[in-house]
Amino acid sequence: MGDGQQLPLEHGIVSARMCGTMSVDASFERLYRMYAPVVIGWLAIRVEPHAVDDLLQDVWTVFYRRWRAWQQPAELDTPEARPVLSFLFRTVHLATKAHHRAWRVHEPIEEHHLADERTTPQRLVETLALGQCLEFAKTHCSEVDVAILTGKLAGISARDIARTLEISEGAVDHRYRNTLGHLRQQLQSVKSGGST
Amino acid sequence: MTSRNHVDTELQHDWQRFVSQITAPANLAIRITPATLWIALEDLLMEWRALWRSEWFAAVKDQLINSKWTLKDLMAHVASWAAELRAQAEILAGGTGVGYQILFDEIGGPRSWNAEKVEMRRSRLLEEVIGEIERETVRFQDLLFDVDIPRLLTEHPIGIAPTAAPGQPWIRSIAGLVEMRCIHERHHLNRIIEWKRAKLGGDL
Repeated sequence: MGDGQQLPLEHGIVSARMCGTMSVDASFERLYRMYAPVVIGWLAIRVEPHAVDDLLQDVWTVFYRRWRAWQQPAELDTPEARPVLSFLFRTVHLATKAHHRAWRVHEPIEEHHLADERTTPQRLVETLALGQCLEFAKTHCSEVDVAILTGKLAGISARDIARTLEISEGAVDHRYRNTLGHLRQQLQSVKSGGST
Repeated sequence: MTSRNHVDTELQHDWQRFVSQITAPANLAIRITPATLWIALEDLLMEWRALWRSEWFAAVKDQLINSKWTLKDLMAHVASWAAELRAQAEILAGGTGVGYQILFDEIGGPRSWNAEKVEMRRSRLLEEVIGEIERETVRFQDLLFDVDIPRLLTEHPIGIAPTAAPGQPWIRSIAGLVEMRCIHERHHLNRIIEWKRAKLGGDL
């Protein structure tokens, strides 16, 4: 994406929707275009590749139903606030929980192809240093730590992450620092091992 | 030596690069699944929990929130509808409509039913009432994964009808009952938050 391509701020879309200058559907579409890649990124890291597409639809269905009756407290009516992104982060977290629950109930009777074509984000991840870190985090850190890491990387506030995970803000910051510490060691060992 | 801040910055840069390379599907299917309904109820429960955990909540439980109910009474009202809608959803899951009716006045809704159910819970502790909301939410969520999607979406007469027309019950599906519950409870959640701000000020 070029430097000149500035995405519209969430605030502008929400304001237009709230004051009626943009319809529910048009504003939803703008938010989808703006945030769907972030949602896919979060999902790609937290669930199996074959499940990303389905969960993406679930997350945006849940958001659409809320968006129709969206209410925004006055204190969030600032250009910096991103309540929609925070809502999507929470919904991704809940969709992941629901997915694991459904998996336990139904999935053993179904089979999935590991070489599913809908693994684009996964392939992208593998091309970046981030991919190594996330892969390391997935295998060595708890699900909560991975959620904190990916939330922080996407700019979700510690407060919103804490509310989503039902832990304290202090715990979010503490666990994030710990995870970064682990990743620093991982990056150093990768570098000293000559990997790219 | 790589510092944590450096790792943080490097990862954020990589994350932005990663996301910028993702193309979202052009066509999005908005469709109801057990998962979307489960999420709606879980999200609701999380909002309640955030409220229940607030330092002020238990301290003002016996204060009047409207002309006739205390905050604890209001929680009892929420619990009674959580139990009722779950019970009606179980009947719908069996493939039939609900065979009884709660009558709604045009103004004020099901006043006598509401009063009776709150009264039934009056001797309970706030924690017990909250526990009932938690349990009923989980039971409703469990039900969502126990029935197939067509059954979740099939509409039947439910156990609510206008007082003026008892022969014309509302028609809803299980998914519709989930939506009713969310709308009802969000209404009360928002009213509690407004009440708290007006009375005690500050944030939650």
